[in-house]
Amino acid sequence: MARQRRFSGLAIHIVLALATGLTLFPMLWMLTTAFTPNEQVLSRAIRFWPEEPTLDNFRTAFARHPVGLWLWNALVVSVLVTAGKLAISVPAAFAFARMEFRGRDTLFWIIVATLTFPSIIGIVPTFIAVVKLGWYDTLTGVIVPSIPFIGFYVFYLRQSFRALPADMFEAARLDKAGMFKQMWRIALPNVKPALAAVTVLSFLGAWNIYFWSLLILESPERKTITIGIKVFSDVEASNQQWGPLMAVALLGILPVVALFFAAQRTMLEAFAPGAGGKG
Amino acid sequence: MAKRMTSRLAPYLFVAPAILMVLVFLYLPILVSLALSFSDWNFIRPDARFVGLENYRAVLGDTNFHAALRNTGIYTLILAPLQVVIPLLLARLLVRLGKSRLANFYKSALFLPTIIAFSIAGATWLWLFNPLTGLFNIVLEAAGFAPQRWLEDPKLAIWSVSATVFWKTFGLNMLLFLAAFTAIPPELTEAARIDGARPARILWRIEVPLISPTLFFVIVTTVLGVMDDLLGAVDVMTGGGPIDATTNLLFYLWEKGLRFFQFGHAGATTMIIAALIGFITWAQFKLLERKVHYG
Amino acid sequence: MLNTPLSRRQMMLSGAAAVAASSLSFPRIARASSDTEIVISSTWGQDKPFQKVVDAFNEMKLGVTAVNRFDGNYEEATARAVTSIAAGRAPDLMVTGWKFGYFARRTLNARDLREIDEARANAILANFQPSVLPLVTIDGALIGLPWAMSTPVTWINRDMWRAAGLDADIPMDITHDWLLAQCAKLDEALKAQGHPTYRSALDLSSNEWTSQAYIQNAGGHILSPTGELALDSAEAAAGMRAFAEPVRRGLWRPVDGQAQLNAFTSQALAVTTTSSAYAPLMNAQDFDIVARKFPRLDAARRMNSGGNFLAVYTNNDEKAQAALTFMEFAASREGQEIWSSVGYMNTSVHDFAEIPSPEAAQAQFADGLTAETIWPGARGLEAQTVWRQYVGRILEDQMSVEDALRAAQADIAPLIA
Repeated sequence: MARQRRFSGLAIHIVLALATGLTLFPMLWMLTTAFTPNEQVLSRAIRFWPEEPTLDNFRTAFARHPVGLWLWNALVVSVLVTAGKLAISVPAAFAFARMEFRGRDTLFWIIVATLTFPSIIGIVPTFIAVVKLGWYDTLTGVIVPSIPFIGFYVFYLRQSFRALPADMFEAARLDKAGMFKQMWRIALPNVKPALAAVTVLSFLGAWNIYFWSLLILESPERKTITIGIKVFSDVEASNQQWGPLMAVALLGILPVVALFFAAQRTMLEAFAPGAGGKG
Repeated sequence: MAKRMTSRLAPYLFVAPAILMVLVFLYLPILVSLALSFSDWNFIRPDARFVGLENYRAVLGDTNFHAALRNTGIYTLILAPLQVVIPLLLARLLVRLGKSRLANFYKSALFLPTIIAFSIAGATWLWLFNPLTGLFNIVLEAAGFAPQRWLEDPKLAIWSVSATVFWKTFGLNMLLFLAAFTAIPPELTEAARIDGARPARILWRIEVPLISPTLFFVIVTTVLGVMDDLLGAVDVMTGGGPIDATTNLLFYLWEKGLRFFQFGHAGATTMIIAALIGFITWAQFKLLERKVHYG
Repeated sequence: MLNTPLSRRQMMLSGAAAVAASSLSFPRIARASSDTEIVISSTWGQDKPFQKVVDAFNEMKLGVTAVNRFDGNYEEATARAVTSIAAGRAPDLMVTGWKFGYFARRTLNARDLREIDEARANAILANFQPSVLPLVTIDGALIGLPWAMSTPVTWINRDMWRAAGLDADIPMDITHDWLLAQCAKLDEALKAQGHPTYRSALDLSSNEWTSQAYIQNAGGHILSPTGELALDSAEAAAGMRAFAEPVRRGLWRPVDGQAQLNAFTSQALAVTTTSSAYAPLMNAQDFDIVARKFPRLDAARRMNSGGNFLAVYTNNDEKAQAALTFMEFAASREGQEIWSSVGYMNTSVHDFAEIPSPEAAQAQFADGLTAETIWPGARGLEAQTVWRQYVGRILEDQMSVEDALRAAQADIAPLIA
């Protein structure tokens, strides 16, 4: 019995290590390529780390395209979309979880049903609207229409608010504290992991917005990194500039990877039961 | 009295911003698309005419629409089962390891691709798939196999794109399953284990029913998500080609609407996609929800 | 710290940061002068000769600053322009493919240069050979600067040719059958050598351009002289059969155009029929490359031209005048001298001792070139996409030549009506 256990433990490690290796590999290859001189990149030798690592690819990338602005714009979009999503979904989720009112379930499902909406399903009318509002080629035009995709967040935060014990709010109710105060003072501090998870997921989601930015952002200095990489791959892949392309790709993933590692523990916790509701 | 009024209004004030945003930016565009689908307004022609079902006829008769529909089906058949089964098995194995440094490393590493952008994932794999200097062909050649046209062979391309998308997406489902498995009280499976039941049997007979609400959520969102997930990768890697081998319904909508500016056709496509999604969601609820065991 | 991820304070701080961030966005480089700025949507990045023309123009300080904005290939730049125009802000100027001439005029409303300023427009066009003016005259309007013209030729890696034991003395006028026979020998001889990962003896460029050349060389048309779609003719079928023959015989493994070009410069491909405008790229390689005329079928060769013209789209008068200022420079002897290094044929009246454009291209030009397919109607961009797909279906053997041409005729006709 014990022997069998140890054996299966080893098997589990082998399977997981293999899966992890396969998963990490493309990113490691990106990393290697980004630091390899481009002439060697094209030499078709299998080399896991360049003999003379170089920053030339980054220099080339920054010299040819406003990569710094692309990163900055993506950051602005991600922060503001996340702030917007939190601002509208937290009160809504709180009301759905802790208040009684007519039409509550209908309104809740109106929001949650949007979980099934593909991101670009309304792209033509939204484009017309954004143009009419004068938001073409502005970050506002990317940010505002991206905020309403809150189906998952409202659903998930409602679960978290519901999981809070009712007596937690008793004292506040006796003090005749308003609902806003109850949400702000009592509910929010007690669902921090769920909030963190929502914040991180929404940030990642906004960082990844693609088609909408591709459509709306026209000037090179207003693009975000995810669509900048498309410009870059169009012009530089044709010149076989894979080194600089992978350098830009690396810069594009660094902020989110950093955010992920910073928030990792809370996030994994948030999805565990007890911390943030039933998940 | 006034106090009572505000407290009765309060819930609506809380939900109003969310409801308004959702109605204006998510529901209204679909209604507008419905209106567009019956007109021939295409931005080039300033005046719109009512054309009845003409746009639907044009879209349903379009070779590219057929390809998009067929590919959407193929993508779903390739990706949805993989995106459910593999994350489920990985999550089960991770739970088995308990809390350890190594387990945490596996967890983070496996989740890592999920957080990077599709277009960046696409660019990275574009490089790996390059016919001349890409790693895959170099390795194949070194191992004595014929190099492949990964993204240029119409039969192979959809698999190459699917591999990229799978790599990029399985992490989120894994995380959800991980949470669900962790929630299972150990005593529920202990008895079966002592009886000597095989792990596969325990998984299938005891654990899967216990996580069925999560499983249901994952299946529904994955089946719908496959369509959406592909877009960035497809645009960077193949542009829907070679020919029409990697396009899908949403990519078709994008091209019709905002590359060729046929708003009427795009409107009709939107309505067809909406109907399809409605049907698939309804069917999944019908078929699967009965089997969900809410603890 | 990670266990208490978001205090309210932190949330307020991040909110404040967000507001600050939005007000800080778009740092723009301050421009010292009060120049009129014109943005040229182009298909060339900053490392291309076009940028040199733009830089030389800006050096002259004529009160106009030109900005070269890379927007992808012809199709992508054109699609971007449609979006911009829909958003009410047309690009000031755009490098427009010849094939989108009608589309540029009828859908994008390219400006008639004479309507901006007749005298200036006439003076600009006087720098060009009269034979190219019809190409930029669409619906009676003069819509562009016809300064970038190419034609497909046959580029041959003569080192590989010799290594396969073939006669390195290659005639200028080559036929399809002869070329295929050589490539079969080449493939046989070099199978175990050369570039290992992507290997092909020949590539005919899998786009609508070289297939048009084959159809025309077989005596057919894509669009008849009267403008009707003529894909369902026996000649078109003969042309497409010949075009697909190298694939069927295993001599050509189609990948996308860019990858094929890269394959050729990496010596993974011995022969490629593509634009004569790649001359500078070919000259820069360290192996022996020669250019010969495009492979001919039994009938006389009837080659098409290709390339692009520079058109004005802005509705702002000041910018339109500024665009003409740029065009005056681009058409001048000085501008053309810089431009001539790009590899296009010389369409101007200025003479330059040496330009990179190969002899084969100049010979085809002298023989007379037809236009490349200028897709008519407001939906030309879509029509071109559909035709490319059918060319692909033929090459990949998804459909027989006859079926594909019949289906293409049926699908494309309504798009260009």
